[in-house]
Amino acid sequence: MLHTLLQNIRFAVRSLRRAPTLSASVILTLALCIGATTAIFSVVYTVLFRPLPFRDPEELLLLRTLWRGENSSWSVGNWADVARQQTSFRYFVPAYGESYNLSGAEMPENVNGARVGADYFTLLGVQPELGRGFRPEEAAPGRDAVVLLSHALWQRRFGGDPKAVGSEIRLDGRQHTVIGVMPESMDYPIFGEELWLPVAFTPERLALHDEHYMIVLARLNPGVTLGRAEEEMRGLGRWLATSFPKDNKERGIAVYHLMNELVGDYRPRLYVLLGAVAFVLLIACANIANLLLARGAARSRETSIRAAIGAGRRHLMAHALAESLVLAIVGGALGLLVGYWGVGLLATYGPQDVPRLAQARVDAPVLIFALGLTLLSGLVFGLAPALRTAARPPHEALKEGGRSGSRAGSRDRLRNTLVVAEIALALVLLTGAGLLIRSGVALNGVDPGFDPRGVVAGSVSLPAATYESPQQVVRVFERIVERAAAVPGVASASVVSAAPLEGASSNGLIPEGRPLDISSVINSLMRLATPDYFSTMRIKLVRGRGFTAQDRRGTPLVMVINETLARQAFPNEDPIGKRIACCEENPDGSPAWKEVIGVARDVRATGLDQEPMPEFYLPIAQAPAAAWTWTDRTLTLAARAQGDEPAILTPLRSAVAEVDPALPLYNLGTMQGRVLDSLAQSRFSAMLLTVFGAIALILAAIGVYGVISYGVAQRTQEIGIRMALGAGHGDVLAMVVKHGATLAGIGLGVGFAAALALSGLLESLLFNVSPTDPPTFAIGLVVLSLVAVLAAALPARRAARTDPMVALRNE
Amino acid sequence: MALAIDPLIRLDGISKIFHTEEVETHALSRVSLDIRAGEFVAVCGPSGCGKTTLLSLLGLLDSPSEGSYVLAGEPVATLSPQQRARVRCRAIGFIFQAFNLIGDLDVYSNVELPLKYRGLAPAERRAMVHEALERVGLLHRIHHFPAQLSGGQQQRVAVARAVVGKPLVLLADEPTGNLDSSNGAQVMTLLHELHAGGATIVMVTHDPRYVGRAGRNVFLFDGRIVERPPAELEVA
Repeated sequence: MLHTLLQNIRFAVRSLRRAPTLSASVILTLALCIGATTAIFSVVYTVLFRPLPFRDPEELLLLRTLWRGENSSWSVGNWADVARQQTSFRYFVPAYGESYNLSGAEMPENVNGARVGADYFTLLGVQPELGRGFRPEEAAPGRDAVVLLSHALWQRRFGGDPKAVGSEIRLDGRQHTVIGVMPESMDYPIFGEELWLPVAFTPERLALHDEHYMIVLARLNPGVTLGRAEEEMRGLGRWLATSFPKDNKERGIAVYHLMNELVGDYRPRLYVLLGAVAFVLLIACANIANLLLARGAARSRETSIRAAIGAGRRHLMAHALAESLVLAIVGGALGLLVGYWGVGLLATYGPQDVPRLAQARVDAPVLIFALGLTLLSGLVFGLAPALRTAARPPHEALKEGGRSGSRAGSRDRLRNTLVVAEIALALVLLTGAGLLIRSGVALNGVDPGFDPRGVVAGSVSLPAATYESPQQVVRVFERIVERAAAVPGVASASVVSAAPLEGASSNGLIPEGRPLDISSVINSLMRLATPDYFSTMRIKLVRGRGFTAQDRRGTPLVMVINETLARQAFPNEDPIGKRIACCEENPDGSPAWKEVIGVARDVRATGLDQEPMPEFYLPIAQAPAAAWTWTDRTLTLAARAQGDEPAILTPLRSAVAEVDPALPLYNLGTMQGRVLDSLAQSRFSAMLLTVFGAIALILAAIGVYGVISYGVAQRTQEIGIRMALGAGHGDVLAMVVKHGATLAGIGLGVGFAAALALSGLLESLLFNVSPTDPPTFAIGLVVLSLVAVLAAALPARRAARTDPMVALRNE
Repeated sequence: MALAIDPLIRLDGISKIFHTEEVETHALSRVSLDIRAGEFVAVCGPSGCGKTTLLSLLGLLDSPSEGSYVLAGEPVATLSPQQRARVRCRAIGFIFQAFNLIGDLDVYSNVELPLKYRGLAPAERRAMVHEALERVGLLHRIHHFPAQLSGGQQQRVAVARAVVGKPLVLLADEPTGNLDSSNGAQVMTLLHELHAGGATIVMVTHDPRYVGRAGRNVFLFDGRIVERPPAELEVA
């Protein structure tokens, strides 16, 4: 058996070496397609399926509160009350992200960190690589100056020195003791964090049911089902709503699997890409099967001789399959190299916000996938030719010519079917790519509501320890703006709590005249800004005025609202001069009313594909004291350049350092770049799908060309006879092109139906484009029709040049 | 079928030279030949003497290297391939040694083919196809495929296809070459009937049995027309 197998493989290798062009084309096609599929699979596996680096990761749950049915966060008070009452979970651990200015001997830098409950790592089942974890007593105010470093930060900032453990570092100007380093596996951040500190809630905060900014991670108690836990949380959600209606009316609690929450949004996009590349591989297999069918037909005499001397169907099939498997294995091996290279490209140039994308690699599961894919491909493209070889009656090829005239190759149903399938698959891919491109164009055309050209932006975080009072904070930010505005080449400068497209913290506000009740609340995004913010960003004020330097504490409180909020708060009314309660209360408990002094154009706050939300701006000089906690004392410095944007980057850093050398200006870049970054995912998907669509188009064209060419070669004598009987060049051309056009027509029909059926899968990825967008489908049909007809026209021209003399030649 | 123009075919000093790499082959040398309308001419000669080349030139499948060819009063030696195809379609009917029916088309469609290329209307085509098949006695096989017919029947279908468009001249290339003697004789009888009906026929053959049955024999040897037949074609 093994001997026969080896013999078949040896023969297959020899036989393929005698057909180097065919072998090279097949191997190259396979290498590219298997490589691309492997690379995309690697990304899909890494992002969606590779287990989280935690103990029993499938049991980890993430709990959010719901407000008016939408996901929201936990306030400390809500967490504390629910944690005390719940019985479903073994661990019920709060966590939230914060950024810290890390200073010391090195350049100050801003790093993302997380405040977590003391049993956070016990919950995750991860032990520190060096040092120790948090002790319960450290989760208390005044005892929380301990920090755990991520492996990456330890390597970057401390050069991997074990003595880092026990050393002191300054975070936001406050001394902290490094108590440990987490293993590299923890470099999978939930908040993008590089260090962890324990939560340290004061009794006041533990009683505060407002200010929602935390998530809760949990693990079920043994024997408790998810259903029971959800039921309990629904009950506790109702309890929160009735016990603390001011903050929790309409609030509930939802339980999610952590993994789903982390990567769920990426699932449709990645599945679409995996499906697309699988389609390309299928098209390639169809093409290769067609090539091998043609090769089998050309070698029918050899096969017949084998059959005549005693080879059975099984032997003939094994022989033919051996060739396919040799091609598949060589193609697959090269494909693995292409895949390795592709994974690197995807990890490097893919959208950076896709979780774990950078960790994509060719590892054991990916290798197994590639091997399986290789063998499957070999079977897919090898089975039909092998079956046909084995089924051919031996006398057919051995007889000396035929007397019944010309037998056409045009009616080879299997080969024609393969081409029809290729065209259908190619149309599905082309329409998919077209839809994403049109979606990308629509996104590019979205007016962001501000002018990003010429604007640079970076973040500045003020440590609470150094800048405790709101007055200090305001003063420093105003000085930073003054210095930045004075930088040569800067036309204007301002600070804002969150630049456009970055989201913002939200607050509930109530327009005057409505009940002072949570049911009247309009949830809106809040931005603290200096007076020049609107001019720096070129956000048009459609009514009223912007802020001035006179809008300070002690003067009437003012706000600028956006058009969406104006419509919601004051429908069919002029909002200027109207009052809104938000964000704070007067010392006597009455609402702190703010007068609407202007209406700004809507700005895309969280992304170009997200509709504008209600939004309001407050002058930083009038910011409520609590706002500095909500914003983590972190504002974005935005400056409009008079000329070249890069020229002002370094001077802006210096301007900030002049105010306080310990303050880094981080995440510094152009707003144009941020706009592009916000489009990165859709651009990347569209780009990949376009590449796959183009490959599919080329492969389909090759398929049509191959089948028609083969048919023309088979029908040379028939064409000669037709010409002898009076067929002109046009007749022959039309006959051959008609064959190609018929295949294309059927393929396009099937592909159209399939594309319509599958287009719904793209719906969540599309912006302002219907999944059945008629122009996209029409363009796909026209392009593929033209390509198919062109691919048929080349062999048709050759056919039309057939010498009619062939009709006189006996076979 | 006969035409008033006389001669129907006039070849004058026709040569055909084939070039393959550095070899020059003179397939025909200064052949001159007149064929009158209604004649049955047998072109005879041994293998390689240029019979098929002469037939391909007469049938406008190829063009001569030199000399003139006038068909029904029209010079056709220097026509372009497209022009030749048009003339072929209108004026020439072919009968091949290997029948050359198209295997994927049934009898009706095979016979109809030249009429389609001529652009005739379907109804007209149908009538002409029926007439031609009736003439060769195969109307009852109209929906059969070539593979379902005997060799003799296939050649009769080929004859029907050749005559269906009422061409000026029928060119037959060894029409009995692939048939047994009985079927060969039937086909020859059919050709004689056509000739009796006024058809102009030029038949290439090297079969001595049929050489003497044409109205006139033209003997080719080494690409030239010779006055006496080569020894192997001497009719007893």
